[in-house]
This record gives sequence, C-alpha cells and structure tokens, in this order.
Amino acid sequence: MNDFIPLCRRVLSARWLAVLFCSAAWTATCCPARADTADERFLAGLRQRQLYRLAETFCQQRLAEQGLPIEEHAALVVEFSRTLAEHAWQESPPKADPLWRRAMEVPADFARDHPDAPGALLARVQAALVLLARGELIRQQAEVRGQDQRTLAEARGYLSTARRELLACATLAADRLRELGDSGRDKPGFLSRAELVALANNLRYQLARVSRNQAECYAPDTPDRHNALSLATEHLQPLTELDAEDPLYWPSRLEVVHCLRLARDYDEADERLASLLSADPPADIRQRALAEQILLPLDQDRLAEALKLADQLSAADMSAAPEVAFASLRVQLKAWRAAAEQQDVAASKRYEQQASALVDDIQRLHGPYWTRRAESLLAGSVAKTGGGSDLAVLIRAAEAEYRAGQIDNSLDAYDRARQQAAQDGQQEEAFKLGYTAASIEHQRKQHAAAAERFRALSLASPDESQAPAAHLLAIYNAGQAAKTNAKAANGKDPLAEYVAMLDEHLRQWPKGSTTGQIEMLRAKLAESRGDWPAAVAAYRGVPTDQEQFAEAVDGAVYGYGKWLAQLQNDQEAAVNVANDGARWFESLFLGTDNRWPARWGQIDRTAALAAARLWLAAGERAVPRAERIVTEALAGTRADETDEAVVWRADASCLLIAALARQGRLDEARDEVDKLETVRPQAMQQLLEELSGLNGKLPKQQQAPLAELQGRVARLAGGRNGQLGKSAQRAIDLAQARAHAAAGRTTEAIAAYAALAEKYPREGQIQEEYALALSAAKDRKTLELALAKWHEVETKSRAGGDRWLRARYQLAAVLYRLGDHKRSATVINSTRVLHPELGGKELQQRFLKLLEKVQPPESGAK
Amino acid sequence: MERSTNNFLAIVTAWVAAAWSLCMAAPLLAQSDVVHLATGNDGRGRTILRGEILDYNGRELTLQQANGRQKLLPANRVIRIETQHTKEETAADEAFAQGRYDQAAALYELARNTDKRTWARRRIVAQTVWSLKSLGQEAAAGEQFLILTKSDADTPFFDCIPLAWLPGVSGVELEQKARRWIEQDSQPVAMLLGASHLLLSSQGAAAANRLQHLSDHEDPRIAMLARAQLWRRQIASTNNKQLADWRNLLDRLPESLAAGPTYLLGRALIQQQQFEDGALELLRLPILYPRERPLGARALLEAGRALERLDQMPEAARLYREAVANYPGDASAGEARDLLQAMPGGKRE
Repeated sequence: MNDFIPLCRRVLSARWLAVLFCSAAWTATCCPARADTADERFLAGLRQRQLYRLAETFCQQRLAEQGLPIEEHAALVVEFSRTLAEHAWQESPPKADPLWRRAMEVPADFARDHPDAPGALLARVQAALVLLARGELIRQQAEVRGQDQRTLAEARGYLSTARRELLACATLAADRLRELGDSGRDKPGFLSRAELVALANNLRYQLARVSRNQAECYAPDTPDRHNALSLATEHLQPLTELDAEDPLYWPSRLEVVHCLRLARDYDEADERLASLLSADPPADIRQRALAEQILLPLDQDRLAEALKLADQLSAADMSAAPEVAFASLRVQLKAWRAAAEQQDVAASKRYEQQASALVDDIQRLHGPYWTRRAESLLAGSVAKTGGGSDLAVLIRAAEAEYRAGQIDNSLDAYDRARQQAAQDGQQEEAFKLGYTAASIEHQRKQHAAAAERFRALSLASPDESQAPAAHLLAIYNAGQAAKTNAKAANGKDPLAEYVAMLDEHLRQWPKGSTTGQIEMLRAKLAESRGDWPAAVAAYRGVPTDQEQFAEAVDGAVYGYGKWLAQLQNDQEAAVNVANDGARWFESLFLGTDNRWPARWGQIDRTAALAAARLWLAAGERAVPRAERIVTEALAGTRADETDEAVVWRADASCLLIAALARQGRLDEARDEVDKLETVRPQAMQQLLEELSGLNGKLPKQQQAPLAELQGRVARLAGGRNGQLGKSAQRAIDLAQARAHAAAGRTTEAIAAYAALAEKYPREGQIQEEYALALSAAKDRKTLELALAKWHEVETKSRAGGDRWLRARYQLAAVLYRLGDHKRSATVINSTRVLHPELGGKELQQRFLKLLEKVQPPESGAK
Repeated sequence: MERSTNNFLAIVTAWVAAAWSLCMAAPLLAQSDVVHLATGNDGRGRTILRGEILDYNGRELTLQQANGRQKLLPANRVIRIETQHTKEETAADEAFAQGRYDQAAALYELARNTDKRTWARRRIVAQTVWSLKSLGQEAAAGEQFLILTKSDADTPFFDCIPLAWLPGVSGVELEQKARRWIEQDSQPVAMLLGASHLLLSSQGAAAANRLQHLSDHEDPRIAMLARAQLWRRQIASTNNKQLADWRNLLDRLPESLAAGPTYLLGRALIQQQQFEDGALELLRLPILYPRERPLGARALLEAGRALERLDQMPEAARLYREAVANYPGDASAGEARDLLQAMPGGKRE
C-alpha cells in the first residue's frame, strides 16, 4: 500500500505546531519540522544548506510586502525567528548575540503589536522557545566550563523567563479551548480545537525541557535540582500516555529517561529505557536512546561498562545521531582523566587520541554546533587533566576556547600548548603558538598585554624568522597603548617604552627586513615632536633596498624643508644643514662612483630636486650646482612621457628658472618660463616666492626685467586659475602685485594690492604692502590714502612690534611728504619715548634721518 | 510573491516522488484504496474515505464504496491516496528514489503493462517522463508526455511536461520531433512542446510566433507556460517593468508549474546584477523542485556564482559541493567541480 501525497498550497494547520523553533538537540529528537507552504519548504531548504543570510533576506523581503495577509505575516515572523535562532545556534559568540536578540524580538513584537491576530499566540510561543534555546545553550556552555556560576546564573535567567512565557501561553491556549467548547468550531485563520490540544501538549513538553534545564543548573543531589526534575517528569507523564502516533509520544518517553538519570534514579531510568527500546521506537529515538544507554553507566562511574557500550557502537550509529557520538566522547574523556589520575601514561595517551579523533568525526559529521560542544568538552578536560601530552589536543582545546569566546581560557591553553611544544623540542611550533596567543591580545585590543607577549616571544627566540615581525607588532601595540595612555604591563611610561622598543629593535636586528619600518616609525615619532633633525636622521636610516625607501626619501625632503624653516634666524646653521642634506640627496642619484645616472628613476628625480633646492638654500655659491643638477636631470628624463615624469619636469623647470634668476640670468629664465607647458600650483607658488625674494637684491638695472619675469610667471599661473587652490592663488596674486610695485608700475600695483587687501582684510603683510604701494604715489590724494592705511596698519598691529614700528616710520614719512613736518616729528618722538631702539639699527637710522629733516637741529638740541 | 492561488487548486496536484517510498509501512487494506480528503470551506479539515478508486483525473476522483455506491470527489480536495502497487512499480519507485533513472524508466515500462487500472497507469507514465527527463532524454520524454495528455487532458501530472528552459539548442533527434509536434494544430500541448524546443534554433522566429499564439490559449496552464517560454529570448535585455510582469505571472502560475519560469527569473535578475535576489530564485529549483534535475544542477551552479559575486564564498562552495554530490554526471556538476577547485583551498575538495 502506498501513499499519494498531492501537495496543497493551502496553509495546513499542522505546520503551525511544527515550525516553531527548537534547539538542535530537540530537532533531532522531536518531530522534524514539517513545512507545508512553499515559503516554509523553501526556507527549510535554505536553512538546511546553512544559507542563513539568504533566508533572512527572503523573510525580510516577504514581510515588507504590502497587503500581506496577517496569517501569512505571522507564519513568516515565526519562520524568520526560527532562521535567526538556527543561525545564532551555529555561530559562536559574539556574532550570535545580535541574532539571538532578533530571533526573540521579531515574534515578541508581532505578538505585542497584533495581540488579537491569528498566529499571535504561536508567535509568542516562538519567542519563548528562543529564550529556552538560548538558556539551554548557555547552560551547556557552563557545563563544559566546570559549572561556571556566572554563566549558570545567566542560563537560569533565560530559562526562568522562558518558563514564565510558556506558562502564559499554556493559559491562553487553555482559555481558547474553553471558549471553543465542545463544538470545535473556530474563527477562520485561528487554531482549531485539535490544533489547540496539540499546542497545549507541545507547551507541556517545552515546560518539561525548561524544568530539566533548570535542574541541570543546580548541583547534583540538591533540593532545587530534585524539585525541578520532579516537575519535568510531571509535565512529561501525560505525554507518555498519548497515542504512539503522536509526535510527542516517543520524545517524551526518552526525556523521562533523561530526567531520571539526572535525578540519579538509575534503576527506574534503566527500566524505562529498556521498555522504550523494546517497543520498537522510530530510528531517531532509538539512536538517542543508545546515547542514554551509554550515559547511564557513565554517570554511575561504571566506566568499564560505558566503555564497552561505546566500543559496540557502529559507524552508522555515530553518524546518525550527534548525541551518540557526543556520549561516546564523554566516555573517552572520562577514561582519559581516570588514566591520568592513575598515572597510566600509555592509556592516558590512547584515550586522549581517541577523544581527539572523535571530535574530528563530530566535526566532519555533525556541523558547527556539535563541533563547538565537543571541542569545549575536550578543552574542559584538558584543563582538568592539567594539560594533556598530545600537542594537537592542546591546540584544539585552545582553539575551542577561543571560538567559545573564552579568551582568557584560550590564552591559558595556548600558553600550555606552547610549553608542551617547547618541551617536545618543537621550537618553531612553540613560537607559532606564542605568536597566536599574542595575536589574540592584539585582536582584542589589549595593546599593553599584546606588546608584552610579542616582545617576550621575539626576544626569547630572536633567530626565528618571524621574530622581527613579532617585535614590530610589539612596537605597534606599545604605540597603541601609548596613545590610549594605558600603563605598560611593567608599569613604565608607555611612550618611553615605545621609544625604547624602537631602539631595542634596531640593536637586536640591525640589518633586518624590518629596519625600514622601524626607522619610519622613529621618523614619524620625531615629526610629531617637531624634532626635525631626528626625523631626517631616521628617514636617512631607511635602507635603500627596503620598500619604505621611496617614502623615506619623500619624508626626508619634507623634513629638511621644515628643519630649514626652523633655522630661519640662524643663517649659518641653515647653510650647514642645507649643504649636508644636498650632499646626501646627491649621493642617492650619483651613487658611489659619483656619476650621473644612466636612467633617472623616480627616486633619482625626487632626490635631484631636493638636492637642487637645498643647494639654492645653501648660499649664492651653491646656486650653479643647483642649476647643473636640474639641467642634467631634465636632460635625462626628456624621453619619459609618463604623467609622473611630465609633472616632475614642470617642477624641475620652475627650480631651474629660480636658479637662473638667482644668478641674474633673467633672459634665460624668461626663455624657460616660455617653455613651460605644465605647471603645478605649488611649484609656481614656490617660484614666485623665490623670485619675490630677489626684489631689491639684484642690481638696479635688473629690477625691471625681474619684475617683468615675475609678471610673466604670475600671468602664466593666473592663466590656470581653475587649477589653483586658494593659497596658491593668493601667492600668485601677491607676486603679481609685487612685480608691479618692483617695476614702478604704481597704479597697477595699487590696484592689485587694493584687490588683495579687500580679499584678505586680516592679513597684516598684505595690508602693509598695500600701504607701501600707496606711499609710492606722488599725488597728494593717494598719499592721504596711504596715511589712512598706515594708521590702520598701526592700529591693528601689536604696539612695539616690527610691523607697528614700520607703520610708525611710514606715517612719519608720509606726513613729511605731505608737508606736515610738525606731526611727522611728533610721531617719531612719541615713538622714541617707549621704544628708543626704534626697531633695530636699520630702521632706527631711517627714523633718525627723517627726524633730522622734519625737526630743525636747534630744537632737537634743546 | 504568492506563487499560486485557490483558482488553481484544481491543477495543483503535484505528486512528490519521495512520498511513494514513504508509504511502504502504511496500513494495507486488501483490495481497498484509501483517499485522504481536505474538507471545509478553507480546506483545513480532514477526512478519510475507503473503497475502490475507479478513476482519478485532473477533474475528479471516482470512488466505489463498500455499499456499491459511487462517489465523485473533486480532484483538488484529494490530499493523499493509499493504494496497492505492483511489484514492478514498487521496484521502479525505489530505483527512482535512489537516482537510478535508467532502471526506473525500464521498470516503469514493465509496470505499465502489469497494472490494469488506467488511472494508475497514468501515474506510471508520468513517472516515466520524470525518469527520462532526468536522463536528458527529452525527445522520448516528450512522446510519453503526449501519451499522458491524450489520455487525460487535465492530468494532475501536468508538471512533468518536458519543456526546454536551459540555454542552448536542442539535439538533432529532439529538433526533428519538435518540428513534428509544432505542426499538430489540434494538440496545443504538442505545439507548446515543439515551439519550446525550437525557440533557440534556426526556426526560432516561427516558434516564437507559435508561442505568442498559445499565450492566449483557453487552458491557463498552456497560456502561461507559453508566455514564460518567450522570456528565454529576453533574459539579457529585461528591465524592471518586465521583471515585475514576470513576477506577476509567476504569482498566478500554479507552484507545481513554476520551476522553469522561476529559473528564467533568477537568471534575468543576475543579468541585472541583482545577485542576492537572483540566487534566491535559483535556489527554489533544488529545494522546491527536486525532480527537475538538470534545472536543479544548473540553478545551483548559477546561484553559487551569484554568491561569489556577493563575496559569500563559503556559501557558494556549499552549493558547488551540492551540485557535485547530488548531480553526478550532469555537465553543471562538472563546472561546479572546476569552480570549487579554483576557490582558495579548493584543491583539497
């Protein structure tokens, strides 16, 4: 006789009772979820393939659909919760935590928002079952961690809430059954009488699970444990009297055996188990009963009997039910501990290896949840036996603790494994294990601890190939610790530790592959402190054959620039620094044989420009050297048409123009300007500043050509306004104004400065130059404007400062030119009262010279 | 996204092959068939009737009860039937369930001659079609399917119709048969079959024309499948509006007939870079339509590729492994093996 099962897409009531989430253990023992609608079958398929992310997306998309009937909505809410919970079950913490939370919230929110909807009750049951599952999982974690009290308390919290919720659901189901009366009629979409009866039984079963899990949170032989187990058995008893066809009948009978075993009522448990096995249970129940059969003698310390039963298990038994393999693992681990206690080394090693092999089997056959449980159990045994002799087992235990989120335990286990490896003479393996442990600290951002571990490891085995890398990680972590101001593990100042470790690294591995990284770190540290000599020295210390070298050359270019800026008031020192730097940069492209390179690479070109710039800063005698370098480098890169080379050539040409101008070769400089095709705003800005610096320094007859050159450069830069940044534009506009002023084009200069002064009202330099430009005029009206502007500059400058003194002088000078000698003299004399030195020798002379003009000698003598 | 409506409850009577192997332990009542029926307005009630089934087709089931009275039961209310099978059919079902499709096809051939009940023979023919489809013998499958529909135009086994859904052109034998089928003006199912297998051939334009014509057929199954067949020419150039139209048709199509169109929708979504949605549609094939084997293997492969694009490598690898393990011998499984080996650590697979 065969069954024909045509599928009907109509929502079938039975599915409501089957889709509720249940833990992996329960799924394996109770009726497997039977999905009826296409959505449910599809989701079951996705979950079976562990495609949780896709399944979650699917649920979210379906739930977001407009006009979804409330009954389907409820069904999807339950499915979504189930998917999230199964996903959480397979994940290790902390990834699992948000999944658990959502698995509970999704149905709980639905039940709260739609209390009268069909499916609201089942959604609420689902939320309660998620709590139960989470509580059970945490309780299992506590079990393998030696009944850790904090974890047990957390488990009890979940279980207690689950119990409260399940009881409330059971009351609601009973109320609805009463409302239905004997008629069995129900409102469309709501549970029928038969369905409500099935739900009530299911709730009873779940309450029994809660009680049994609660019992397992208490120590054996305590009244709390005993009471909880009695309650569980009470819940189960009516279910064991159901029809054998009922999906709860067999799981309930088995659960009773489990409870009796936990209550240490072994005789009754034995009897019930024998009765169950003789009644021809379904295959999955028989498998789990086999597990109970092994655990019964094991719990009674009849180890030999348990071992015998475990040995009789077939491969099929082990692969059919994870509970069987897990029970067998418990037997092997107990045998291992017993052998270790009796100091039976051979037996201990044998059981240890068998246990390890069983964990491998479980991993291969039963997925992540059971693997995690098995590994945790193994890890617990390793801890209890004080660490096994098998390195592989120790490593596995360490990994298991890590995956279970027990980081401290994991670190302990790694340390034990490292010691074992060292004892076994496996130094490389020991180093790797130490490295892993330190990496765990690094990963969880315990920087001080990570630094200590990496440092100790690398210094203990300096010849290991990864030792410098480990020390480098120690330095990184020390740096992070210094940033967060955390105290170093040894209580020292973290920043000082960091610096000391950098030096230590170079002492330990002076020619290592990490030298470049270390020097770069030293350079960055020096930069952050404004210690430019140290920064430059560190950059120069990066070996030329290491990947950081190009970056180091750039860093050195920047460092020298900053260093020279720092030395602007010490010309002699600045020249020395520039000379030294230029020679170092030259050495990079000239090499040891002191020849121009046959091919100019990127670093050669950077070094050439840097050397040329430094020679320009090293005084007039070095300018031809700068010109020569740039000319050679430009010739050597003429054929290179890469973007990078084209931009470099533009920069180099700007430098060449500056070098030529410095030597008074303005015609050649102008020709070079005309050849410019590509310019970079920054380079143009530098060139203009360089050319502005020549104002007044070249012979008088060259001032006009210089101004013309400046104007040409400024126009060239201005023509590319669209490409300029604000600062570059300012520099170029200013240079143009200065060029007009230098060339004696007073009207143009005043117009250019007026625009600048309006645009940058708070820039004293510009306001002062504007006032100077106005002062250069010859007409009275403009001179009066100059007077007003100098007043403004004076008012806005710090009294007694350089600019203030200059403004005072110019006020006096303009007043003199306007013919107001008396006021001019008053200005000078009043300035002398508080500032008799009058701004230094040069300005003082000018003041006094003017005073002679505006104040007759006789009155001055008086 | 509702993939069927109550309007098509009469048609939705897909038979799950796996169910046949489950019933070995069912209580056997000598010479008596057991019919499980849905009752009530919403179909949620259940009842069981016993007697001898005289006929069972796409419209109704005729049951002769012990008192001699004949009862006509609407086909869309039939949930399950328990009946006596010949040993040949039982053996064929076993072979089918174990994936020995060549043996299953031969055994169903024998079973057809041993079971004298016409209604039971129709189920055997349908199983033969499934076996031949799994073997890639679509020409023979098409011939068997036409025998089935000649016997019962409303057959509840319509879902085994061997239409072409995968990319690629048909073989010579199949193309010759398809040319004959497409010309049978009096048989719309034959025309649908013929046009389907010629759509990507040199006679594609004529086939498309025929499918366009069939899109208005009075039998909604034929009309909707013809419309869905035309999607095969549009996959590379669909827009969102067309995809919405496709989804709309899928919502109205009975779930049992939606395998091929769902595959096309999945591919179109992937073409539009909607990898997650595309993968979800494709995965319906191996999950909801396990008897559609070549489609299922191909869908796993393409869903795996989509997941790779989403950087979900472990999930993709899982799908490739499933294709390799569950569809040995299929070309898609071979491709999946290559992709698996190309993945990081794949050489160890």
